Amino acid sequence: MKTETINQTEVGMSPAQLMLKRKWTDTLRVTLRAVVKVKGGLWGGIFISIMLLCAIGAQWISPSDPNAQDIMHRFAGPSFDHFFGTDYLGRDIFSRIIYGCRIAVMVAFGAVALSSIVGVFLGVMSGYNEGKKIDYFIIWLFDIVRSFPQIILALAIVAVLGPSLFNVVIALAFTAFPFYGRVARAQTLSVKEADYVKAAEAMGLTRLKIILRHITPNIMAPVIVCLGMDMATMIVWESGLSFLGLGVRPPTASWGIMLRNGYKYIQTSPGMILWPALAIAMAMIAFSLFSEGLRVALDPKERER
Amino acid sequence: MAEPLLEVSKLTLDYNLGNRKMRALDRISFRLDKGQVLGVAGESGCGKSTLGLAILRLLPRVAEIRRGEVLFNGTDLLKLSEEQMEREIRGQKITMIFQVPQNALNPVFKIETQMTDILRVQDKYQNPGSRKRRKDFRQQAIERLGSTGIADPAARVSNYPFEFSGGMKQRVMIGMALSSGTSLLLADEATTALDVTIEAQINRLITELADKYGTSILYITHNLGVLSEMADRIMIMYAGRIFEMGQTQSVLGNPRHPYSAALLESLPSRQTKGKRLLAIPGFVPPLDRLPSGCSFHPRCPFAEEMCRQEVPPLIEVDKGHWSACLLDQKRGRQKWKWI
Amino acid sequence: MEVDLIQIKNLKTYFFQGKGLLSKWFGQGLKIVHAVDGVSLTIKKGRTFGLVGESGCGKSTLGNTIFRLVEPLEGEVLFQGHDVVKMDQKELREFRQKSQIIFQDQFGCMNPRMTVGQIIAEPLMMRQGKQKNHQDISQEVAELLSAVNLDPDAAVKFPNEFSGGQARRIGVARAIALNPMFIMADEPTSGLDISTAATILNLMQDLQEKMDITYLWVSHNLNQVKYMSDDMAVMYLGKVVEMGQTKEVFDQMAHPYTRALISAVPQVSTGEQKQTIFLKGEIPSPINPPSGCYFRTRCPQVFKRCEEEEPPLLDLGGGHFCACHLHDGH
Repeated sequence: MKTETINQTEVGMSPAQLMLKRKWTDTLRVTLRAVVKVKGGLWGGIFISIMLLCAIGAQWISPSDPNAQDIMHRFAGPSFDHFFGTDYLGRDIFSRIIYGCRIAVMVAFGAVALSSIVGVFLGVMSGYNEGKKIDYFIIWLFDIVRSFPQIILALAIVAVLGPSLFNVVIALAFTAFPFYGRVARAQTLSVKEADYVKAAEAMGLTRLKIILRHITPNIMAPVIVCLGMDMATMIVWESGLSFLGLGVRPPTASWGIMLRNGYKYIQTSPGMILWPALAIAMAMIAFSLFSEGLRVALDPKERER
Repeated sequence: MAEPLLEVSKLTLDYNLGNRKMRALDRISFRLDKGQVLGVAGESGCGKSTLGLAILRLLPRVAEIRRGEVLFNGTDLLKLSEEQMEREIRGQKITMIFQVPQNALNPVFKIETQMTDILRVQDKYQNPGSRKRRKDFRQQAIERLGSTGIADPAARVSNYPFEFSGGMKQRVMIGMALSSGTSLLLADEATTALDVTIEAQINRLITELADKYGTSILYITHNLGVLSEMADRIMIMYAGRIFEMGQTQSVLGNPRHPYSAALLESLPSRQTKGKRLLAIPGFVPPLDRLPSGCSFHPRCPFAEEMCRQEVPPLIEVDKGHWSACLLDQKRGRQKWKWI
Repeated sequence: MEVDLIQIKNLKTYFFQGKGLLSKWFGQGLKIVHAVDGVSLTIKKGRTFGLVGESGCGKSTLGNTIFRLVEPLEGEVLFQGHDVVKMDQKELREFRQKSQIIFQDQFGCMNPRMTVGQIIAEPLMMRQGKQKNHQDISQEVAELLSAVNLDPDAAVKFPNEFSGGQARRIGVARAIALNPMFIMADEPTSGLDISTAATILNLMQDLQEKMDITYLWVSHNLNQVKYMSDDMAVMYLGKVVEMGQTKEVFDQMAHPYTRALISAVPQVSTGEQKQTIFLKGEIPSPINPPSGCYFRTRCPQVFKRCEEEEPPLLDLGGGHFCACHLHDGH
């Protein structure tokens, strides 16, 4: 129950701070606890934590250097040295998967963060000023970007900017921001009619404060669920782009590149394609489960009385 | 004495929520005769809505009927199969109308469609093998609408629910709920969401149609004023138990239970401007942690030791007037003055 | 001495629907909702002014217009002599610190993501000039919660953890935080049980005495308005049909609508049954109000003049006004 958690943090916090500023760590802890309670949320959370661990600590966790070639032992099957075997250049697949986590996480979090921040900001601006010129302008912007098929747009941007991790993030973020914008705008349209917004207006709050304090937190629930799902999608997109050769540049180990290398050898060394494919699938499932748990946890109506 | 239309005996019902067991109804017993209006009054959580739903067996799976009988024309409704309830009782002999009519009507279908759907089902059960056609049902729907006082029913029947006001939607529901086959109408806060002048019209309509068809009514509401005008007898509930029951004039005029007296004294119509209203101290207890003995004793200024120890039974303390207060039963009639 | 706190003069708030091209070509064109249609009234300081009427009468819109949550088409709202309609941002902010609203939806008026403490502290943090020390503010929040008979540790909880009556009290605590002169209470006891409602009514009376607050009491519950208000106005379809001291309005019931309204209220009575006047028909839409007197389509005492001429608010003496031709000498 929320109250007990608060009391646990009373030590060291004055009653004043207690009442007025719920520490974000506190909110975080309670939210995570709620997510874990949802079926699947726990497993999703565990897998994502593993991914984060791999991403951050790849150099310590990985048994070998992902780029170390060993031509003598290429296409090896699973062994004690190489849990997943080796690829066509004798590189350890297991290590490459772990380093691939890093790319996946960077793309997922990076692209999603960028697109959601820009998208939500524009969406709220547009929704709160419904009917005015800026609303029309922002919608027009969304519609233009959305009218391009996502893949064409992403490919075009990477082609122009050149393949690199950073550019992949930019490209993916650009294709995704209108989606967040639309969601944010739709939510804003209904939230701004709420009585508590009227109460804030009647109190004389400035429009900016109303947007930040009252509107934005209350539109975030569907946005956050989208974030979770989107991360999974971004990972798949990155692998798609890398598969086409327009993503991260070799020899960087990304799951997409591993797929690109591996599909040619699917009959001789299926491990080259199996493990990255599995990793991508698991990541997708994990993010989906976690984001569902997050949705339930963040719904104020589902909080216990 | 003629057999009552509805006789409920010792109906006891629990809501099983995880590890909590809420006793929503505790040994509820009462009778309702043909053509009578029985008002069920009480505040939130007293169980009045649950009672209505329990009679029609419309409660969710977490609700468990532990004990009791609901005799309708001699048949125990609790023992009927789901199919029998569907076929004979629900929507036919016993009907129910609810508080917010907009939730009862599907916004994407015309009124005509929704009414004829119900009429078709009723016809199927009541006249198996009937050969009525679409235009017969449409005609029936128009007649029903007309009988509820809606002007120009033939045109109105083709409208969508959003074209009807709250009062008109409630008339549609009443038109469907009250017909010659209805023996018992359950009305759950039927006019609470309506404006005052519309409320008066609707309640008058209900009374007229019920008189015409000989329908009995179980009128559930927290509005004592409405019951004072409409109900022959009245029943006051608190936390799942009946505290007082009897002729409306008796109960409202000479309340024998301190809670009933308190409810009456809390009404603004009872006080002049400037004087404080009675506000009963304390809170309604949660249904899984009822106090021992009389569930009202922690809030009752007249409570004594025995109120804490014994659960007061519902006893007939005067002709037709029942009360569940030990002090009233053992010491005789009191005037409960709270302020 | 009775001072006029708020004077409303000929206020009109209309809503416009269907302005676009599509409505012109395919729909029914421009529709004007006459939400508030020329209302004039005076609210005296320290007293309670009751505003009654049914759906569509415009009482909520009138309230919103007074606080400038909605812009009126014409008219004046004088608060202590200054016209709210014409105020600039700075003056408006001052006005809003002196007047507050208690909303009808006791849960909807609180941001579900803020704690109760944050909700009540919000107006305090906006105060001009004063220092915004957390320690002091939370002390004040605790005091406000006690003033409405709530446990101070409610401040760490969220609104959805409370019952209807408690949520209502949180709303009251927030409204009195800045010691306002004027509070509009919009259906303050809707959805509450009889005894919970009684608690709220007592609380609001106590606060009025202690803090000398002027109330605008908007309600469709006539018994409550009779109990709480000193003066009152009855609205129908955007217009005031009767206005005056509560006692007089209830005694005389000069307007046929007032008479029907009061007679329709269900009363607990053990004596004779009252005679309810049943109005025929439904409340007309405020988009196309009837010509002449708006009430004529349902009035049991309608006559020819009602269709042709709109009745002005006639002075019946003693501050009692009524808009009905029946009271016009000729």
